[in-house]
Amino acid sequence: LTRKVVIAGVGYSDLGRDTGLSEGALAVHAARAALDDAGLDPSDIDGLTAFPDRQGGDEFSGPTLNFVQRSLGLDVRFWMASGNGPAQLSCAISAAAAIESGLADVVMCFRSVVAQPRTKVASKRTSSVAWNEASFSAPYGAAGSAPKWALVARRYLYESGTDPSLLGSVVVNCREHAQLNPRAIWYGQPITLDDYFDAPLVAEPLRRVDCDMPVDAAVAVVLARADRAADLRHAPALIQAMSCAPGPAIEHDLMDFGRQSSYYIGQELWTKTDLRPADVDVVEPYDGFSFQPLHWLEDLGFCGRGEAGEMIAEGRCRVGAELPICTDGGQLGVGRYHGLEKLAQAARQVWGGAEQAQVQGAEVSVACAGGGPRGAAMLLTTFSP
Amino acid sequence: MYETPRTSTGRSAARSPSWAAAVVELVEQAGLRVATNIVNCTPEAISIGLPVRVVYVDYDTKLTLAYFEPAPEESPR
Repeated sequence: LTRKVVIAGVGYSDLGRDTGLSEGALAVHAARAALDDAGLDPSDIDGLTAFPDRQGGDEFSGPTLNFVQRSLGLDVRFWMASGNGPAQLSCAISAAAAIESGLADVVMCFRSVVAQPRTKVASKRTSSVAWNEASFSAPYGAAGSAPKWALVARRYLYESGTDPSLLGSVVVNCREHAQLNPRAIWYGQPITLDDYFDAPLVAEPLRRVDCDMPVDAAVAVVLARADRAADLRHAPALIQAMSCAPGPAIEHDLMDFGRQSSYYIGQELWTKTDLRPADVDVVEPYDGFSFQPLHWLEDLGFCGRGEAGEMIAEGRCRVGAELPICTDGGQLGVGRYHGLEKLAQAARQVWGGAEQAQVQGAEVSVACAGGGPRGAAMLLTTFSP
Repeated sequence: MYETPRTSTGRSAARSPSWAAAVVELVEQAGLRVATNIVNCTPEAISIGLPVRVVYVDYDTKLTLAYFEPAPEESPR
């Protein structure tokens, strides 16, 4: 980035299976917490972004930008939300791009989700009219989230030569980190490999515990021009590089399962920085399903193809070990925040705000989110003016 | 590519408690893949690379779906 952009503050709403709060209220709570963390006022915000947005979306789309703008009393000159494109980090990508181009100086981005009864979502997806690419897969029972992603998981395990049992190590690792995070839905409930293998299969090879738990939760992140750093409550995190390359085929359902966006992002990200994977102290990879951190770690070059599962099983990705991942507990431990929390945690790690999960001396972190052709990664470092 | 959901998340074309969703690549055109179900075999009999052949099934009076079943080696796929 030619103009420097920083992560200035992050905020979280309450999290739970049934908080009684609307997605709008959750978003506003998280946004207020992020402003407080950054030491900024609503009047400092001149941009607002989200992924995706209720406008034109479905019941999992979060509140509209309009609702959050009204609720916070923001006066914005830049706003953008999209459910398509580089997935969960798209709101942060567009915020950073807006700041770099001069469209805004300080941007609030957020993601808000509410736990839905699974049966309602599943019946809606399978019994109503299938549209877009899903019209090819829905009639064959691969429309819901787990059945669809199980296809990708199976292909990943096959092509990378990864033993399916290693997925259990990912879940155990996340649950262990969730014990460091009182906000986590699985706080107080670690899991053993035996527990993992006792869990029922949802869509082979995925067990119930390979899937993140739907929760009510919102996270908000404030991005700002780096020259605003002196106004902030604490040192920010500097965005060193970002990438959201989808690869040549952006079809979602019948994509090249062996090469997801993580592969193309891995090719591009390191061309934009002098830093190398070995310089990274902590990684926050997307883990809506347990196989996903594995292809992110491999495709971003933190280990070779097919090596990530063993790396986690050997305990090398725990807080305190060589390359901690999913340090907040991940979605498998905390619940389905749905991706933007990856950036929040990666930022907290480099400014030293990760509380019990703090990786000592962390100076470089990576947040990455998404699956299929929709994904993005951001490389962060400590900031010195 | 295949997986076998063990809980019913909706109406599967096979209307069975367990079915195998899969993506099949057609030998007639490399890279051309279709979403489908693998039928007429147990889930344990399915593996990546299994030769299959098409079988058409009337889902209801309006809809016919293309499924695939394991193919004897000498038969066209």
